[in-house]
Amino acid sequence: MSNPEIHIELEMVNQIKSGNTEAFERLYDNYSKALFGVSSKIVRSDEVAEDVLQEAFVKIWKKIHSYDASKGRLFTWMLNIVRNTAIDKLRKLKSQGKYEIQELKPNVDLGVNNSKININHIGVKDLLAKLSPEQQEMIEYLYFNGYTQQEVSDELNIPLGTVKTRSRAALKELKKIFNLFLFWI
Amino acid sequence: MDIKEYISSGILENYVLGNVSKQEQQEVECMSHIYPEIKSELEQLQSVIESMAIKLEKNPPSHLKSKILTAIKNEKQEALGQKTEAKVVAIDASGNSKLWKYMAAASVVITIGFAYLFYTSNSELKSVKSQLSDMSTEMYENKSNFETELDALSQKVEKKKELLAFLQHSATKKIVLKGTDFQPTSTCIVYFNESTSKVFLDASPQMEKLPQDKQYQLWAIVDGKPVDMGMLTHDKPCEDLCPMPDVSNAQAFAITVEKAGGSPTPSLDKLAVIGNV
Repeated sequence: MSNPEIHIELEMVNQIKSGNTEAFERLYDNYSKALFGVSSKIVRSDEVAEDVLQEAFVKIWKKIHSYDASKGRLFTWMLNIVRNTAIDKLRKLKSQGKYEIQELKPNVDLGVNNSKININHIGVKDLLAKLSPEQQEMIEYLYFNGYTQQEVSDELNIPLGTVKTRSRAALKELKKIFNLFLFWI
Repeated sequence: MDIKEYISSGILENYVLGNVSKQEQQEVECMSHIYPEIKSELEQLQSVIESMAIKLEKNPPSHLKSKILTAIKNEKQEALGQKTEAKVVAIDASGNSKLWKYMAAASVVITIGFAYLFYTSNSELKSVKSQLSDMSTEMYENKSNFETELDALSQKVEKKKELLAFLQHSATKKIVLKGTDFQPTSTCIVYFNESTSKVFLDASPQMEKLPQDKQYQLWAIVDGKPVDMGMLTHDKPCEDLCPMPDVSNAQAFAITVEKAGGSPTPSLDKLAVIGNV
């Protein structure tokens, strides 16, 4: 993110901290698409994702004073809130038997079911294909299903060490891919 | 601290994938605060996750925005470490002494009181509810941490109970060892039970700091002869009181400065503190 953008973002956060709902609206406009995408990927239902997003944005509003720009980016902070809310929802629904075990199997596909793909993102799919199926599986289980490494190891019946190596490799590879991608746009 | 080793340990990857315990989370945040290399590595990993999220972009239903904006209008932002103060309603009680006026005034006060109580308890209930749901998420993550901590704590409590029983025992004596000319300001306390022969030493004695090649050694004087009671370590070895070897019929306790590792007999010119039973 370039400096003026950071500056604008900080100002927006400060406005929200002082209770400005218009600034909060701008925050929603800027981030809701990505956050809804992540949420919907985790809970696998647009309807549930809607509830998750609402719950998460209310949390963001209420907890905005605990956001500290020196400790990390706003987007990362919000992503964590959304992911935690979504995983929490997923666990709750799972415990109520509303999700079949089968449905929780990873669909080994990072976002192909996107209804609308932003023009900026054309070509990403090809780049993602560079990730091995095993690595994609790691990201799915760990980030989008909220499994711990131990749980992945039990579920897939592979040693914990392998889970660790694979998830690190997956992130490394993703980093490479995205760096390349960012270079091209 | 080997930063490269820390980075390659995989903990940062786990952190950004949201697979760390509360303790590890704090550790990573603390480390990235101290070491710019860790911070930059972490930021790179976080941008990977962010880029992934951007790639997943999906338009939320159009009615959601106004729904959320309505929802937040009913929610107060949580100020950091601040509590809302209760309003004080002043009542003018001066004037007419006629009974009905008092009653009218009283009923108004009571009505306001109840309304206020109802309002505050209701909004409190709401905030308690949302706090509870936040807490349940946190509890889920913290449960296993707490269990290990609980085990450690109950062990500690057992130890403290034993210690307390020892201190309260009628035959336990508190012996203050006072500084000699060699170390006039030093002092240390020994607890000695004459019937069970148990000895405990104050874990933080006020004694001069020694160089690494020297160590304090505790002695009991039994029938005029010194008996080795062990060494005092440089670091604080135990909480509150340190258990020392048992000894019976001790008439006095003393601490001398010896070479590291201790001596078979005390160097009497290096006598730091001494106290009679």
